[in-house]
Amino acid sequence: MKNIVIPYTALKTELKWFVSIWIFSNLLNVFAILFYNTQWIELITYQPLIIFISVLLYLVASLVRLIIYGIKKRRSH
Amino acid sequence: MDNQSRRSFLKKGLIAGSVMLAPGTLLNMTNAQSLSQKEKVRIGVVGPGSRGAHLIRLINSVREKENIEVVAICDIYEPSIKHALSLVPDAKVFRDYRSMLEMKDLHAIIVATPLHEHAKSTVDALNNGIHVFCEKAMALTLDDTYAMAEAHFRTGNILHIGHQRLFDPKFLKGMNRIHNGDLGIVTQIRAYWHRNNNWRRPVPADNPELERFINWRLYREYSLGLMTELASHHIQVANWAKKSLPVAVRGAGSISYWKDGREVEDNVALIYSYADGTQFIYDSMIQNKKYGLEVQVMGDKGTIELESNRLFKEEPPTPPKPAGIVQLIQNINEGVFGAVSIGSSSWDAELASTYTGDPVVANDTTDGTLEQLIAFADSVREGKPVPGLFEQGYYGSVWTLLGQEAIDTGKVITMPENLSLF
Repeated sequence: MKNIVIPYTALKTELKWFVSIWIFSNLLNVFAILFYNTQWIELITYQPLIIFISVLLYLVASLVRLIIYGIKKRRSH
Repeated sequence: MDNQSRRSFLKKGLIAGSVMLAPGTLLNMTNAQSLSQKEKVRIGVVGPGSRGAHLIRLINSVREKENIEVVAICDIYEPSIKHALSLVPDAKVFRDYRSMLEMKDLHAIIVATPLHEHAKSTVDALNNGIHVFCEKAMALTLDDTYAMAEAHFRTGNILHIGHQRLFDPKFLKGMNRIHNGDLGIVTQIRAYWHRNNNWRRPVPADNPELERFINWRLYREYSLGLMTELASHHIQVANWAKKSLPVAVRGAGSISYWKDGREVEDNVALIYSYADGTQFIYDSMIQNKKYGLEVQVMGDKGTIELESNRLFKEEPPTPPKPAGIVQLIQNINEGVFGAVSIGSSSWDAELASTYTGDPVVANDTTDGTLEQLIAFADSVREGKPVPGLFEQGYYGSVWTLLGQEAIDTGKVITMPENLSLF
């Protein structure tokens, strides 16, 4: 059985991506609260939904990054 | 009695004549007397047939608690006597109500006979110092109806007319909502009572001559059918809701389906008009039961359906808004996956609102009949009528009979002045 080793730099990069997306999701929440005139407490009470959205967006972003990475690698060959 | 003396008598006798019954009067009167005050009320039942037997059963259910007892029954139909005796085995049996009225310590009678016999037994009882609970409608004719009112006011004895909705919590609360203005300005009331049966009761095969006796509701000699047996309830409710009386009634009726020798209509439709422009639209039939029965009181701010215990605001309450982020997701979802309209109709059908409303009372467990019997017993003990209660029954009956007159004549009918209690 082969061990998969994730380098620290890669982990840091992924963490940066996820945190960025989580911040973006929270900004979306702020926008929605302002736009629909709802309550600021939703910034806290809707964190489970925000995290869920963040995970979804992270997966989408990862897929895009993977495609871009694949295209770049193909060109370099 | 000439018109002049009629009017002066009623003016003198009718203390509460200008008072239309307030729901609060009835809401607050339940159990007004403590148990120690509750002397036994001894009641005789004239006509212990199906309705009479039902009333006996109700009285039996509170016999100890309310100290009411059925001590006598009177009928000429043996099966009714036999059945009533199974409910009150110790009751004394009479074949003639006049003998019953002479019974010692009899406080009151319940009149549950066929309609044409209400007036005679009621008036005789009142004249003999006996209080009366008489089933609706009061009588078959306007003269008989008036004679009952006259006897009530002249003797001062209690006369309750069996309009149980006056004691039904959902109607009482509903009337409070209506009179408090929760429905806004009420301009239309609709009521209907639909059944799908021939309204016949089985006649013993060996006694076919009992047909008119048993099926008295179908013959004009004894009853006015749908009007007196059903409509009278809702006419009383409409007057109660409006706190006033109609100024005119027009109507039509027919025997359209049950062409079996009956003499009363199986299909009626009437419009009662009130002075403020309100229209009360009533219809009844016995060949379709989809809509059952209902009273819909409609104002510019809401509707009450009293029979089904529902109140509908004209503008349904908006549900609480979801969180901003949820709304954002919903809007994105609709924008991406929602149907795209490629055309629209120039006219939208104004179908009924699907809003299901709110209950008028939380627990709808009684139709008010038992409560009315208890209130009657309390009135008998106190020797005092509930102010305004009799007028509800009286005008309900009067306008029922006027409605039948409108159907019979095809004319717009108004109430003769000499029938007014005001």
